[in-house]
Amino acid sequence: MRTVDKLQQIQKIIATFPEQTVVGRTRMQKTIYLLQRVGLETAYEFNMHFYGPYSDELTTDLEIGGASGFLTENRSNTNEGLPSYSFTVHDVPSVEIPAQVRNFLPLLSVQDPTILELAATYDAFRQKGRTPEAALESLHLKKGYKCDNGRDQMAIGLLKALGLEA
Amino acid sequence: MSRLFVEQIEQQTGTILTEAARKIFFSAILLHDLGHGPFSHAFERVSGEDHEDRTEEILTDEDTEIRSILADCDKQLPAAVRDFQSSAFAGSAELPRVFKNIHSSQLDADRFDYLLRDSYAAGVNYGSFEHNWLISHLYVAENERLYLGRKALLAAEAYVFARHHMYQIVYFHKTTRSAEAMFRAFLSKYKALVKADEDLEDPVLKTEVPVQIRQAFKDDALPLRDYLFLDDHSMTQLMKISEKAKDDTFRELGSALLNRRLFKCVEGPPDRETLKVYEDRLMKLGMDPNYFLLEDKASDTPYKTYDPDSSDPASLIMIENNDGKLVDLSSASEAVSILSRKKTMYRLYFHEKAR
Repeated sequence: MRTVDKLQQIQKIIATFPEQTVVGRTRMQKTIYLLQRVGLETAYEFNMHFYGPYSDELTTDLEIGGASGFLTENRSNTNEGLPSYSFTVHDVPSVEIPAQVRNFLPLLSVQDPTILELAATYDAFRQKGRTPEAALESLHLKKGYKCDNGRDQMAIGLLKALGLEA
Repeated sequence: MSRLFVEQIEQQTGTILTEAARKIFFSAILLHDLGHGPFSHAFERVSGEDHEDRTEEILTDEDTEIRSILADCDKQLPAAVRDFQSSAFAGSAELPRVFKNIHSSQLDADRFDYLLRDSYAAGVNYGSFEHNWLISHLYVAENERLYLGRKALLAAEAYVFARHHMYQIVYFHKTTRSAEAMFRAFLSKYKALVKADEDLEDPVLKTEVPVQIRQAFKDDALPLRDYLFLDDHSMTQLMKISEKAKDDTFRELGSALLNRRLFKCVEGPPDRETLKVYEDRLMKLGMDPNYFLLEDKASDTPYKTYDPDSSDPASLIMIENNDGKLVDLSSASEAVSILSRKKTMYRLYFHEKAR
């Protein structure tokens, strides 16, 4: 798939979020990761990073998209002074995204970013061939307190809701 | 270069590394790129290999020459080098965490070395900076992180600019990027032939391509012994063999690379109309746009501030400000702050016949 086609798919996805805006790079990365797992054809390659599966090409495309008018990337600072990003679209392309992907957008657009992060990370461990028990152990090791208060199980529940083998 | 760093740290802290720690540290520095395949990242992107995994495997496998050399020196050395190279290494009694900063951070010995070396090799001065001044103003903070003294501010700015200029002028140069994009297309075509077993229907490819090269593009994991067979020369050999191949696309890509008929390019932004113009021209010529019309995207952030998804927050360059406090370089320097945003590049490369 060419970059222009990938960017139009991303535009269409962002448009389904409240105020046509995806808040946070983690949310954006993990949303695209999970959508690819259910059939989005953007074919970004994800590697494990500090906050779970991450695609450098996706980040590059978002920058290119911002520079060429496909979307607007807004940068602000959190209360801790750290940079925070959001992505907004103004024009919605007429391209179609596959139905099996489109159907999951309402579910993903309301998820807490930590749940997305845990779900994507657990799934990435499973994709590397780890058993559910080993993947959960790795998740706890990597994410620590973020798994507390049942968030690990909520993440696994999200994967099941997406029809993925958890 | 790493010796200069170590000398400064030893002098500054008054602690001399033990002989055993020196062996671990310098071995890890020397071997940090050990697992790279032929033509480095270009090969990785097509084959799916991961050089960090391969580095670990080479240091672990009982049969590798490197492991034997290290083990002959000290039986524990291969495992110690592997552990030090891991991103999870948090320091040990004999090798404090600050040495991991020298191995891998935004102010590491590798960057110092490759900027100066590549600048020299490319015949330019863009990558030059005052590395001796920077190293002589390196200190170790209480949290075992490296930081720069206040007198190093301008040299630190020059270092970030040097890296920025090398990326924009040398590493992103349209000619080298053309060759790299063509090489990826060449390997992708070979991979497609192998996956469909079409290479076995070509007597030349079937008999002349070494089995290790073919195996590298099959789905099965490539044994380490076969992976180590692969080097730049084996890829050049594949290009030479491709000139006799039946497949027109594979033959032309190999020949164009060998004979330096590099693809031409137009700069971004990406748009469907431009793509269509070149796709139509290539189709009329009977050339597959998937292999003769190539997108090339690259990005670089000259100085990375905290980025929760893509970088180690601990790799910030810390510098002492006028009040004696340690601050992130981008907050001490407006110039560096401007360079803390990602710079992207988009080009469309096409076969010269589609011009």
